[in-house]
Amino acid sequence: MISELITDSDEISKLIRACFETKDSEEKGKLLERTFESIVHIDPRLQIVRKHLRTATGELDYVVRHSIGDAFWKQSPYFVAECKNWKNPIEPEQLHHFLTLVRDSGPMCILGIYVTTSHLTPASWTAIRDARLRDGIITVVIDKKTIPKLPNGLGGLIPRLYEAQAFRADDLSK
Amino acid sequence: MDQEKSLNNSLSRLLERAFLKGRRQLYFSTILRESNLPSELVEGTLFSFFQSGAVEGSLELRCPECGKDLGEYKKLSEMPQEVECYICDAKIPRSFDYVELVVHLKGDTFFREHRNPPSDDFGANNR
Repeated sequence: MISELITDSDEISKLIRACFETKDSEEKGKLLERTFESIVHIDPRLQIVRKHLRTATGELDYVVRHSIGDAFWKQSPYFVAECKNWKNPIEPEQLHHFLTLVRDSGPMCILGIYVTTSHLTPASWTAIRDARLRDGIITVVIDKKTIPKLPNGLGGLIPRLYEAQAFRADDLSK
Repeated sequence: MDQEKSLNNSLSRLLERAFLKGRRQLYFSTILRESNLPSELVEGTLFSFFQSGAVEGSLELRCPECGKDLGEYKKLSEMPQEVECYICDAKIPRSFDYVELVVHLKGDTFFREHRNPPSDDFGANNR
């Protein structure tokens, strides 16, 4: 399955480049998962508690527990994550499954991280905003533009992306 | 995958037994103690139970000073920014540090139906 995890950020950058360069969809998916797992692995505050969790509504790639102490992270001691290597922009119908999984994850988890080698359509950003307002769940997207920032670690990146994306979705909905 | 099945069975059995004894809710700490399994394994399995709707979760707020139960919330965001204990006047900020996860059992049918065959089941009696 996933080969050995990488613990060096330069090597993770190489992994990301390889992920974008390969034309093989299966290989791309594996490289994306390996990148995400390596990023989690290098941060001692993060721990994957379940991988490829089968649920009533489908499969969830990762359930992660963290011990990051800042205000943003303390809202949700766990987060769930999905890695998608699809080529086409992510439509709300495709995102809906993930939003449902985050919503149904119990009271200790309101944060979902959606990693995609593509990008979201404006309607998908609106769906994320609606889920935040309706269900109180936070969804942060790491897309093709922000994946290269992953070697910096999730701790600082996720709150910054959330801030930018929450405002973006609000703007799109006006 | 086998480990996941075994865990699922083991926790299903534990929760079903609790339900049949008339218990309708269990603290996460109780589940940990009674299952005798590592925390991260129980957490992962509970996630799948939450997802399936077999159980529901809530957060119970306890005063860190006097231990008084100060109510239950579906989500942390439902809690006020600060709660004052009406027994000892302690001021408790909204934080996961002061709540405990409560697992509400909704019925025993799920646990029985989703259990795997006895061969995967730690050798326990099959109902």
